[in-house]
Amino acid sequence: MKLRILGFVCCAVLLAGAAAAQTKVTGHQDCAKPDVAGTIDAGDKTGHTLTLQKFNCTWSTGMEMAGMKSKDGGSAELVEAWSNRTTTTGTYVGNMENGDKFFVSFHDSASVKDGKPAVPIKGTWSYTGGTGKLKGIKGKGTYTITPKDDGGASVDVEGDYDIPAAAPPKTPKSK
Amino acid sequence: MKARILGMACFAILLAGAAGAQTKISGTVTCAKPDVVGTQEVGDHPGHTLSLTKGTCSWSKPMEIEGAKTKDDTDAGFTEATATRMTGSGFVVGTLDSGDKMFVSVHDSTPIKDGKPGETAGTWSFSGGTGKIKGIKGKGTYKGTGSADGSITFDVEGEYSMPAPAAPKAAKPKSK
Repeated sequence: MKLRILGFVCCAVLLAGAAAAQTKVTGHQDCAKPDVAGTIDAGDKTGHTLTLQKFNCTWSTGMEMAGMKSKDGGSAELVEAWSNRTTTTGTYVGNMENGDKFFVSFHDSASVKDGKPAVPIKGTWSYTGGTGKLKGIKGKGTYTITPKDDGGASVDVEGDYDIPAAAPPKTPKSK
Repeated sequence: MKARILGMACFAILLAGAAGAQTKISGTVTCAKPDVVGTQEVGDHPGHTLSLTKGTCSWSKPMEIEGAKTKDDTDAGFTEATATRMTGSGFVVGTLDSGDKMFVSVHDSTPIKDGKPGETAGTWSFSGGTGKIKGIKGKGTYKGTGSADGSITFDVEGEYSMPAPAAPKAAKPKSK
């Protein structure tokens, strides 16, 4: 009887572990000066502007997911700036070495003094999807941005992910 | 004694009413097709784009605020579009016929079906004002229907309140 109970407990622990299997990811990417698609004044307060821009980035330390490493990617983002604060919201599309993609939604905020954001800028991100082996990827994390003198940025990323287990193949019905 | 208690209760009710005095407002405004300052493909799904827009609007049925009427607006905003929905966030600077200005934050959503936009539904809130409406607070909702020329007519409703005027400072008696 004791062995049977122990068996059940072990099975429950394994199942719980499998359901919550989160894998940690870390990486570092360098982004070139962004392409600014446009900037407009909000008009209500001096220094309140809206900007649409795109970053192109390369991973110097790729994030490893499902046995693959992230290679490069780009973000389309909306920046709202005031004289003392800036917030950025956007979507990042990352490319893995094998061509699979992952999609990330992100948001960061920083105080601004003398026209420059307080560094490092800290933000949060979450996966919104992926392709190939990363289809259905879920997870979230944080990042820190250190602006570069040339207008680019250095970004450290960390977080965790899990990918839903593939559905078992259907067994053919016996006639 | 009873009269004193009644008097104090009436005073408290009047004060509470003055502090939370909300005035209902409504109006109709038509915004011309916005100028697109920039657009970017996001790249994750076909048709997913971000756009930066600005535009102008005029009130055919003005809202009345502190005795002045809304006349025209300028707006600046972001639009995120997918194949099935557009969401927008922006800032409106409205000019009243008195010359005072109101600042309004807006957020709305529009369903897309067969490539055509449906009815826009949104919320707004005052973020400030100038002149007689300095310190204005309030919020509301709006609904909009597009026309073939790209303009949208919005029915706006909501409420506002003004901060109570500061009590005059009593002069300190000079000590001899």
